[in-house]
Amino acid sequence: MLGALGEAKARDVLAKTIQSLSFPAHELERWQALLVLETIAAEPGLIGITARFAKARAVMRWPAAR
Amino acid sequence: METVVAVGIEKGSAAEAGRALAARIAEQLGARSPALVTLFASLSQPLDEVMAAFRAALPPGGPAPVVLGASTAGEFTHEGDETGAVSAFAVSGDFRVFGGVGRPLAGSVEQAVTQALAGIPIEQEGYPHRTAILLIDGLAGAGEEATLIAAALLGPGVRLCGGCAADEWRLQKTFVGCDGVVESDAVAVAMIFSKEPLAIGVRHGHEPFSQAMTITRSHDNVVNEIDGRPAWDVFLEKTRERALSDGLDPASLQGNSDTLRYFLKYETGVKNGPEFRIRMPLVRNSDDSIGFTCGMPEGTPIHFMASTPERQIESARDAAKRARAQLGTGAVAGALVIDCACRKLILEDQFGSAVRTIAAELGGVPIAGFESYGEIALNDDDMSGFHNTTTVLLAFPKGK
Repeated sequence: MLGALGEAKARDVLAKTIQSLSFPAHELERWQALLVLETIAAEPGLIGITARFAKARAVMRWPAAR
Repeated sequence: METVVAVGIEKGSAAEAGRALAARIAEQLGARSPALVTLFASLSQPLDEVMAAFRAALPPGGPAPVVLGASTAGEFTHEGDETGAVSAFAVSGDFRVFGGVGRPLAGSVEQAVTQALAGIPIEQEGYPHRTAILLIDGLAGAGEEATLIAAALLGPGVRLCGGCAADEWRLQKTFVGCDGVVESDAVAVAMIFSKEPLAIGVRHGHEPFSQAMTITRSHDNVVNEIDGRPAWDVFLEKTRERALSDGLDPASLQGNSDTLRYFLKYETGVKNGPEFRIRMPLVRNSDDSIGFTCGMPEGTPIHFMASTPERQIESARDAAKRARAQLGTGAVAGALVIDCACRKLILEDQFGSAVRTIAAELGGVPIAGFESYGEIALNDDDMSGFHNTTTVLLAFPKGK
């Protein structure tokens, strides 16, 4: 999902955010995934921008989750 | 309506080159009017002057094309490559094209991209396919950021291609422009609405030669430390053996020019699944930090990467193959090519051969483009769109 960061960094960012939101580590519902991305989107620089892009793509592809 | 592509490359003053290119394009297109023209100019021909001369020299009567442009580190067509020249790519056919420029990128990437997209409609009835060409200041250090923001604002279904303006490796100032508005620290966009999908091919030819190391301190596009040590020290240490085997002695590097040429041979890469996204170092700062062409977040593992002339030619062919495959059995009218300037350094006098390989792979069609400080390619399923050391090409189907 956060391809611009590279796999390792993306996994690290996602894992830390999921943990901070007390979400399950292995499977998220769509609303949880969007909240994870929205949380990361508040980060400065490329990390935040990457998450905003990922969220924009997800919202367009998951219309039921809006 | 069949699509026709016209290309040209000219030297001389900006005005001479602009006028000559307008004449060459008109000669090749005959009675047709181009919908889009790209002009890629060396610093010997200021982009604003080239654009003005070109636009003034267009045959009267037809609809004015969107004219998009950038300053370069080299220019080429399928007939050969040059420096100190202007290359032009023009496409005529059933298209609707709109463009814009936004600035400043520094400190306000989103505002600049939003401004560039402001005059571009969301849709055009009867033209379901949308392809955006994005040209970005190559020294802004915001290549990925601008690409992803543009993609997010444009929405799914819009494919992006383009590249970073260059300045012949002076690393002082680059320019982008659209329809007479030429700026630095800016982004220029042309949106092509078409009845048939265009094709975007992208490929690099680099491989890792180091284990992963971690960016431990950075800010935006500046990497201060790798594995807890000054970035430049680590860069030299990890590339020394490879450089010596390539006949280069890093101990003999003197000044910015030597350092830049060294960076162009030994890049970094970020692993994404089985592939690597290349991230090009551009500047060694006085504090031994290294400036890149896009953001490099702390905690990112990087590998050191290199390539060979053979792999560079193969990757150019592969990029063309990928684009060709997207067009199915249809003939190609021509292609716009954005090629990383470092590839010429690797290929040396074989660069022309790589360009001709692209044209041949597409069916012996006209191509034109420039050597850039970074490349952009983002198809609908991609989650990252900024590349380095890459060939990106936008191929136009001939249509009926």
